[in-house]
Amino acid sequence: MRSHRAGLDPLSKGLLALGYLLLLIGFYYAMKAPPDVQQGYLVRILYLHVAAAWTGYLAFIVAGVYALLYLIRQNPAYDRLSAASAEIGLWLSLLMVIGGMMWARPTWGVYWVWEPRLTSVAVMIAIYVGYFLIRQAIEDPEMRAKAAAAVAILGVVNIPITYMSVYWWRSIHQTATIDVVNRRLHMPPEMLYPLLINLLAFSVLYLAFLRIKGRIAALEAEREALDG
Amino acid sequence: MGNEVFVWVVYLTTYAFIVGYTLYLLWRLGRSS
Repeated sequence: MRSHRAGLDPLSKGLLALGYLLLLIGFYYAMKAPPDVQQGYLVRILYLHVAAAWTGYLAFIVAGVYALLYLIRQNPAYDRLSAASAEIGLWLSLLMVIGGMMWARPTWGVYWVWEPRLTSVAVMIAIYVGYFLIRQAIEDPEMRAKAAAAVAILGVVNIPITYMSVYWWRSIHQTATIDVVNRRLHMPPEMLYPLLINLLAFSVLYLAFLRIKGRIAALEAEREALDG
Repeated sequence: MGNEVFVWVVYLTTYAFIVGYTLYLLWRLGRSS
């Protein structure tokens, strides 16, 4: 009875293994990539900073999509997946901020400055910290899921603002390296590949974490229902 | 240069988080199964 759900399912195992393999390859190419003309080897931070940022956005968008699905279908599984994705997104955003601060100190002279991109990132993080505070504060599962869904959808609205902040209010933070707005690449291939490999590694690991977290939440909900 | 320390802080923090979070999730899954 219990054997079918014990441990990791094969797909999650495969995703984890692939994610770690890509992370290793990404590290190898990041260390092999040439130094930047102005920043030297400090540019290596980019390969993890941008990967964490993009995957964080992805996680928040997925959290918003599941929140919307919950509101339409009222299926608690969507609420659990929305919360799982938001949590992973919050961790990735914190990693992105740490990477950014370590990059800012030697280049800008400070760890943090209240310029548009960093401020909009701080707002984004505040929204998702609020998301988890709301989940903690409301006991009724249905009310909790509805309120959380509203915050998750609000969070998605903020993501384009965060992304576009470097274009709308030009300040100290550089514009995107892979510029999807103007369809331009601001880096040579030997720097682009490590970034893309790390981006893929983070995305695959995100999927693995989401599957495992969703499963843990489902098992816990099952147990709670049994315990009454 | 002295800037290498910033690079290593980022790489070590990121990899430590990924490994730590994986182990935490597997532990939680083991407890819930």
